[in-house]
Amino acid sequence: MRLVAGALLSALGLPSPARAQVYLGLDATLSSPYVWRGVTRANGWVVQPEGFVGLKAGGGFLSGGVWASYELGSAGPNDLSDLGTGHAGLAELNYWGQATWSLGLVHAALGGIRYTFRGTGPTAGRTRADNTTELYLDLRGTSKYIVPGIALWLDVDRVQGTYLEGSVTVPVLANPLAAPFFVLITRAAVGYTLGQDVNTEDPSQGAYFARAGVTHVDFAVSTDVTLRPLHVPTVLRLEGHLQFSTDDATRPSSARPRDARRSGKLWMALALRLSPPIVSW
Amino acid sequence: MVSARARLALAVSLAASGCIAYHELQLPSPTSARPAPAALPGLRAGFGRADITPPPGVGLAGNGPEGRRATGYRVRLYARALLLEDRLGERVALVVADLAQITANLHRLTALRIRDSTGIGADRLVIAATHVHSGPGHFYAERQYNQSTSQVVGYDSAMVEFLVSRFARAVLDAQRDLRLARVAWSATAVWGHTRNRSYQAFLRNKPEWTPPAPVPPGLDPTHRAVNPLWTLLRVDQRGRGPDSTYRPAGALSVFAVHGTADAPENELLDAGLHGIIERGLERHIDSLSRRGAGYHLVANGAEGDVSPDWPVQSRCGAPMLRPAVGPGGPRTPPQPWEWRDPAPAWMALCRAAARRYVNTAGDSLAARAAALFDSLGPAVRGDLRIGVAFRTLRLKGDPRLCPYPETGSATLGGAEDGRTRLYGWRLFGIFPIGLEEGGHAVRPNPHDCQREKRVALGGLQHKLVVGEHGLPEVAQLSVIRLGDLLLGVVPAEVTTQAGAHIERAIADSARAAGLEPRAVTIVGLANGYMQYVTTEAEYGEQAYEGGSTLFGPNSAAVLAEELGRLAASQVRPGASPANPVDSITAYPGKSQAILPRPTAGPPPERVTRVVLGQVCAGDTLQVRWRDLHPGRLVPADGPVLRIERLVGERWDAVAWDGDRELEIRAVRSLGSRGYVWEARWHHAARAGPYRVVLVARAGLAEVTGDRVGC
Repeated sequence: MRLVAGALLSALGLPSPARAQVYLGLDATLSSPYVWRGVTRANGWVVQPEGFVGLKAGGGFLSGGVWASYELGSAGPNDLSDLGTGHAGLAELNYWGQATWSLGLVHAALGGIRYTFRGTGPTAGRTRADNTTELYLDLRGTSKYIVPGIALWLDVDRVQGTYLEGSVTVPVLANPLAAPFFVLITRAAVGYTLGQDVNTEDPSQGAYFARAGVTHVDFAVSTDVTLRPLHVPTVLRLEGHLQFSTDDATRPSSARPRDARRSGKLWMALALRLSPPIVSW
Repeated sequence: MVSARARLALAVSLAASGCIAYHELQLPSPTSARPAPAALPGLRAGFGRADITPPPGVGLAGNGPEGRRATGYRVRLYARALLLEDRLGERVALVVADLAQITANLHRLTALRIRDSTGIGADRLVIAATHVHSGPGHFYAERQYNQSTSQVVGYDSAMVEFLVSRFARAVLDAQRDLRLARVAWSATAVWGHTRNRSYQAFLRNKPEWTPPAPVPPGLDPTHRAVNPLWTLLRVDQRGRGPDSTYRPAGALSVFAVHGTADAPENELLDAGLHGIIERGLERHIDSLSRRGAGYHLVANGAEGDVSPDWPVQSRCGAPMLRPAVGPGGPRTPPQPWEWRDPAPAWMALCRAAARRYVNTAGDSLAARAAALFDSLGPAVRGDLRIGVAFRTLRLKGDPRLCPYPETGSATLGGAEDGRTRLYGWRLFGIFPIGLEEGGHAVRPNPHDCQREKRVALGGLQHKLVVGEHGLPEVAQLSVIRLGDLLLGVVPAEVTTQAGAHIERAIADSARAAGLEPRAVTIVGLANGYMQYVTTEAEYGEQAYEGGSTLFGPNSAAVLAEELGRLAASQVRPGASPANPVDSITAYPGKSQAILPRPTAGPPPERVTRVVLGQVCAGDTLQVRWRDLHPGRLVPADGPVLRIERLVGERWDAVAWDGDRELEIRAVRSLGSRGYVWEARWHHAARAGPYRVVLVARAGLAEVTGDRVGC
């Protein structure tokens, strides 16, 4: 395993593992609605569990995992749902791999993700035909107050386009003393599509947005509380979002006609994350 | 009909009352016995010393959120005691401890412990702190200090018992050491080692500062804006039995300098700059006396705005709030944020730079003390007159002061010596919220008792965070007369000019009452802790010291008035005035087990002491060994370990733990097999071979390591 890890890190130009640790990560997010890149995919409750394995070596991490989205209630005729009206359960399964490392004041993540969908009904928002793959690069800077970030997502399969998300994260308040550590964070993000919108020359090509340009602007407030029950680092995150939609695909907040042209929406999510190291050498 | 606002207020009050637990403790009020002339006419003096180095694992108090958990120790911490008794039987015990602060509970409980044996109650006992920021916390009489003086939060009654028992031991040893003595005192200006860290606030004072001694040419303004006087009382003792000669025995120094020479990021228990000064003169006295250990008590003066002249490279920089980097992927909830320290290599460099400064500045100041000590040799006399005036001032509710204590927002960012992670913080990175010195820490429209102070968290501080009894409410004040030297003893960190104002008030009152003191000097950080005291003008600047002047801008004037009264009472004919000792209540919070206990880990008979490894790299000898757990191995009243060097055929001891070049760390628990400890000795490039010896302890045999070439 050590040799494999060393070879992988060398291939990425990362330092070989002088001291390595393997992490097992488990997390789950409870959200309503489920909003992805500004698009409301399901307006009922969803739970999104994830499991991953990470290898820490040198100053970076190699991780791979599986993420799933379960729609908890059967969708009604006026609901948005990846599974479609009358269905509940597993709606989406993603497989991903990522390398993360620090370059001075910049953190970088490079990876790929395979999206697979389980919708089958005629009203399903996503079906097997929508399965696709993206490669991505995520860069974040660090400074005393502001953490600027830019993420680039390149669809190399069905959609064949790029989505950019620029963000600014500002911590407002943090406990300076001992546990439990908590921090209150604000974040503003803007989405921009460069080819993940409808291709008028090839309407058969997949699309997430109606037109090129800014898709939405999202303002989020979140609070992280870090606890260590049984010495396992555990983070509880509560976040609230206020979104301003600028694309016809990001406007709907439900399937009702009156909700099809909303310019704003509110949503919340609660996440629990555990990622204890399980092996180190 | 109860309004929504009233319901909210009620809910908040109930929540607050549930959150803030005071755990009230009534402190004893032991008064001194009536002085009785001693059988032997003349001045008597005795010294004592007790090791107060706690085991690693405790928080290092003084740097707020930057105060680390101690991983080990360097120069050991001590409480040193000097007991003086004049020909009329007037007694005073002076104790100086290598701690950041002294609190009223330590003072009163020690007085209770020594009262029956020595006749000394709270009124004749002075316990002062050197203000070193690398000693333990967890003993404070006020809940808020136990919560915020280091990263290790909480009050531990075992820490109080540990310190009180050691203070009492030092005083009782001093009583056993009482002998006829001769003393002399003088003061000299020591420029260039200290600087004013809040110079803008200092400049607000009118009239302009007149230094108490000629200023050497070329000294910059911040280095001139301090009280440079080093006051030293030399004590020579008569020999025991037939030895009737008087030889140097010890000294009491008072010098204004913050105990912040070490880096705030230091992680070792360490007596710091004051420890080096104490030991430097003690070694000098040893060489003169040839009777045994010398003693040097170094109390602090009006050091509120006075920093040691530490170099810039000795400060590592506070942790910064950053998103963590960890395992995970694109759908994983974001990594949590964390306070992240500067890079470990940088931390090691700045800690080493700070320790180099501590050593060189300490040596230099000890040399100045030694020169002053020597100059007093011909002047020692045996007719010192002692007097004590004492009172307990109730700060809370005093109409001259603010009704209750409040901390300014400037305090949260820390002083120049040790900025905290909160310093300079702005809301959304844009809007200042007063976490700075001056600037937005100053309230533009003063309208209440705290005037220019922007109270941290506003009204929530008193109502929700600190609570009714979270900060100090009383001040124990005294004026000690040692011949024509008056000591104004205050439980505070008084700024240079506030100190000068108080000293003038004491001197004026004493003179008006017919006494002619040759000098008055402030002894700060003694018998309690009420944080800082600035002048009214300095308060308006709301630098760190003004923000930390809890009871408002009139604090210095009130202390001056009260100490002036005490000074005037000194001149009554005969004995010291009657000194009532009023009751005090402490509110330390619930006791927690923080100090490692003497029962920690396996007993000595189940631990096999063994040297696990030795290596020499560069000028550093590193040794790891297995031993008892912290709490059993340390505290230690004797050496734990020594380093020996082979000279010809003989092994000579060259260092013991507690030596400033030897760092001891508790590394990790082996459970029922003991604990791994580490020693790092910087042997200054003297060629070896060396070996380490684990000194025999009760139930543990001496263990000698293999020789190692360096």
